[in-house]
Amino acid sequence: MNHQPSDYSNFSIDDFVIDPFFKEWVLYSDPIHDEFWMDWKDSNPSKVALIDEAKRLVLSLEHAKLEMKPSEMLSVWGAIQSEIKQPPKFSKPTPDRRFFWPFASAVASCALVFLAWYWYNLPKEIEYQSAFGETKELMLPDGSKVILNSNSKLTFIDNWEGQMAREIWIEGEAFFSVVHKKDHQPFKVLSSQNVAIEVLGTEFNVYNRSQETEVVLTSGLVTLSFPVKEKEGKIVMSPGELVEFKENKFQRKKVNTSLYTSWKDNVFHLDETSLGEIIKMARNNYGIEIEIQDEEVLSQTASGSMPLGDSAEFMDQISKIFNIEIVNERNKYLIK
Amino acid sequence: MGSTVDLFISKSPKSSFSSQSDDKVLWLSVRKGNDLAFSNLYQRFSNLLFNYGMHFCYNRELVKDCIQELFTNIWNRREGLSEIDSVKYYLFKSFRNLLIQHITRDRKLYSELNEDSQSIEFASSIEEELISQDYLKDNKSKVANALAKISKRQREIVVLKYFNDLSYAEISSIMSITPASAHNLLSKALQCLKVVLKALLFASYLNYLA
Repeated sequence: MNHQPSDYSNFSIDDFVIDPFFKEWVLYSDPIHDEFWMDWKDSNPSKVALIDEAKRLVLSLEHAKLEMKPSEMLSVWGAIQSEIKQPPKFSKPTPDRRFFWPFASAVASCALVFLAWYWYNLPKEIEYQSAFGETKELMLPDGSKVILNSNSKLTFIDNWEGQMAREIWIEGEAFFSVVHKKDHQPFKVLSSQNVAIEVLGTEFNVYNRSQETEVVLTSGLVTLSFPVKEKEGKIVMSPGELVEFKENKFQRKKVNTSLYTSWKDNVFHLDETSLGEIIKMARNNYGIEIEIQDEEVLSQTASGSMPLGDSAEFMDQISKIFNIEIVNERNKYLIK
Repeated sequence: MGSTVDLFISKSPKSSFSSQSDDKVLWLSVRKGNDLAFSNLYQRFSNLLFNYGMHFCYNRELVKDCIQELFTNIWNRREGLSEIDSVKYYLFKSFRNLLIQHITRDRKLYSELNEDSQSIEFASSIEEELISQDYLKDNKSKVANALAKISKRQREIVVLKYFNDLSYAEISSIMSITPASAHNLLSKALQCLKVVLKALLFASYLNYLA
């Protein structure tokens, strides 16, 4: 419910038709609206006919609404994107016959070229962001590969040459496949909890959402450093290990790494995974709202694997696996 | 920088009720160059503007061109944009100006091409459009084209007030009329609609008897 009821005692039909709260009730009625309007009708029996006519008018007006097809919406968006990505146009300077101007313009263009070169060589911050329900495969300047999971962001400054380390910031979840460099320049991933993952060349998964960082190592060696009470702690991880850093504490365990990295192949592996964990993942990765009526179902677990499709397919699969009823209402999933 | 933004179209029926404060936050992010906010702004308003545009001039391609131009302008000039109280008002006002620009340009083109310019009969064409939409194919829904039967100004104010809940002050500024005449225009529009609806209902009742 987005709108508040007004004082309706002196409303005409017209006033009702354009009242957002009334319109909301007619078009998307829910229990709160229903209750309000049933009560209102009961206490204003003379206005019932008025309300009914206003309701009819709202319904027929709604039929006159014109919308673009989803494909049209996308193609207009595509046109906007291609137009704004074009470099700005420079107007040609008009030639001048006086002697001074060619000289001045030569100096000016030299300065411009120099400035352009200077700007070009300034380190640039590069940012990649994946949307909900989308994974992105990226190639970094050193040839390392990153697969960005949904709703994640990766940032780095584009000046790795001559630096101490190749530094990357991550929010969300990503799988790294790091190339070992001849000069042994380390590769460093930093999470928002100041956990630094330092590697030479290896494959690993980083999960960094809501005050929690989790690193899973597939192959190679990784050094983790993290802040512990004004000091810095260090762990050397070996393949097949998971290190979780949460509320200033870390925990390490042996895991089946494919459970944590399968998302990059659009597969979701379950190994006695609870419904609670699955819902947390769906909220993060698809950006969907999920409401649970009975908290008890959250502890149920399942094992196996399922394909990762869009949010609707995913929720549909979950309802089948756990044999629960999931209702989709206005972009919100209700688990019964 | 260098990233592309993918667009997700959410079919949420409530998307038309966006709160003003949300819009302001979105606007601020767009001004700062956040492309996700920009795509969100497009998702939020493109269909509202489309609906308005189609009731304003009924030319699908022209309306889409204007939407494209509006959003392109916003992004290209984002750094020069100022803080505004109502994003919706700003968008509708700029969009209307664009529509008028394009229509006058097209009209000039037409009259240059052939002496007696073809004026597109709006009412009948928008009726066709409405009927062509699937849900209108059954008899009962013919009621829906009532909106096509009222005057252009009346239709415009119904779209601004009913579909987009703009204030009378904002509407009067968009349509260049006084707030009092905006009130009058809307009540006349709704009055006409009621009459047309009754007539249409009666006609379909007769059809039903026959």
